[in-house]
Amino acid sequence: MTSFGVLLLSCAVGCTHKPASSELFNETAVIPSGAPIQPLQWRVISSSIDAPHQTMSTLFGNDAAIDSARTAGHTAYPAGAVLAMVTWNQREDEHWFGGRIPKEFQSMEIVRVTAGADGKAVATYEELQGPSLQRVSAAGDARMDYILGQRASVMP
Amino acid sequence: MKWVLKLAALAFVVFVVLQFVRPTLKNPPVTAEIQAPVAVKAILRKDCYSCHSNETKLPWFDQVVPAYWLVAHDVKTARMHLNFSEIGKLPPEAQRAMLFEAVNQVQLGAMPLPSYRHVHPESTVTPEELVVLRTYLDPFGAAPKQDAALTAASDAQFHAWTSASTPTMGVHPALNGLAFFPDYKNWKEISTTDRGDNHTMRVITGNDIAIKAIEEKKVQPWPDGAAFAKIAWDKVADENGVVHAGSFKQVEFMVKDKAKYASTAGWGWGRWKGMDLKPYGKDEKFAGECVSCHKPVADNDYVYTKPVARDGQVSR
Repeated sequence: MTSFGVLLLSCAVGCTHKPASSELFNETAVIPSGAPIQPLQWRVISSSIDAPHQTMSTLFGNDAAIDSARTAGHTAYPAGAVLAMVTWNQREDEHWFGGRIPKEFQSMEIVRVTAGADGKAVATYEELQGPSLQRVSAAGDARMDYILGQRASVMP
Repeated sequence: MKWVLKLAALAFVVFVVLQFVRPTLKNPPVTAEIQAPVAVKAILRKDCYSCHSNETKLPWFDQVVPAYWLVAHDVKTARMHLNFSEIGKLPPEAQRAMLFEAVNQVQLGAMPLPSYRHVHPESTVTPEELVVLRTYLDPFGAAPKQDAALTAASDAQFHAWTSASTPTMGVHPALNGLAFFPDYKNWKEISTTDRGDNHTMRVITGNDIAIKAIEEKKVQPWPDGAAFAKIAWDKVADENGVVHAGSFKQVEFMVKDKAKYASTAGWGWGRWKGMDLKPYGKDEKFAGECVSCHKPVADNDYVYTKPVARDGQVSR
C-alpha cells in the first residue's frame, strides 16, 4: 500500500524541475563573437580528438571547400575555399558518463585558398588563440598542410 | 453505525479476495550471470538485483495487493530492459553498453526508480558506490592505437561514398514511419562528443528550425519541426595519437512534433546503421528503447546534447 501512494507522490514532486540556461546550453564552449569567421554557420568537413592533449576539433568549410572535400578524387582545394578548424579542450559530459564534450574555445585556425599570380591555388594560414582571439605569428606551414590533408567524414 | 461496520467488513473481504488476484512473478533460473569484480557485483546485488535479475526477493509489504501489482509490473519491465542473471549471453560490447546506460541512469537519478527508493532507501547507490562502478568501467582507460585495418576500411568506405552516383536514394523510413533526411550532412553543427564507452566519436547537427531555436535560446520545449542528427564514426588514430573520424557507424534522428509523436515523448526517433542505412529495430516498438534511455533528461525535453552556445552569432 505504501509504495502505491509514494509512487503517485514522487511523480508529482519529480516533474517540476526547470533547468537553468547553463544546463541547456554549453555556454563555456562559445566561439568568440569577434572571430573573422563564424564557422558554426558552415558545414562540417571532419572532426578529430587529440587524446594526449585532451582537445577536440571540428574542421568547418565554406561551400567551395565542402563541395571539393566530398568529391571523389579530391586532392586539393580550389581557389575560394576557406577552412576553419576550431579546437576546444574537453570536459566530461555531465549527462553521459563515458562521453566528453567541448569545454572552452582554444583556437581557430583558418586556411584560405586563393588564386596565385601564376593561376595556381595558394593557401594562407592564420591562427587565433583564446577568448581574445590573439593572433599567433609563428609560421604554420605544417599545420596548414595537416588541415588541408584532413579527409571529409563519411556521411551517407 | 451498523452500516459502517458492514461496509468495513465488506471492504476487508474485498481486500482479502483481491490478494488472490496475483500476476505470476517467478524467479527463473540464473543462466548467464554478469561477470564482474566482487565489489562491483556486491553493489549490483544490493541496489539492482531485486528488479534486474532472476533473484527477486520481495519484502512482505511489496507482496500485498495492490502494491504487489505495481511491483510485479516493475520487475517484469526491469528484467526486459536489463537482467543481470542473463546478461552474460550478450556480446561483450553489448554488455558494456548496458552497464554504461545503467550507471548513467543512476548518475542522473533515474535509477533505482525514485518511487522504489522511497520505500527501499537501502537500494540508493551511494556516491562511494558510484565511484566503484565508474572506476570499473573506466571509459577512457585505453587510448586508441594506430590500426592499419581500421584505416584501410575507412579509406575504402570514403571511396565508395564519394563514388556513388545517388548515395541516399531508396533509404527506408524507420520502423515507426520516420522518414530519412538525406540533408542531415548539410545541417549545422550543434556539438561533438568523444565516446569512450563505445569507442566512437560523434557530430550532432541540427536543421534550421533547431539552429534558430538555439540562437534565440528557446529550447524549453524545442519547437515543432526541430530536428537533430547524431552521426557516429569509429575512431581511427594517427601516428601522433590524434583520433579521426573513421568508418561511418550510424546516424540517428530526433524530430520534434508534440502532437504527432505524443506517444514517444513528443519526438520522432530513428536510427540508420551502416553504409546501407538499414533502419534499426525489429518493429515500431524500438522507439521505446530511445525514450527510456532519454527519460533521465526529460527536464531538458529529452535532449542529452547541450548545444554549443551561439551568442553573438546570427544566421546568414
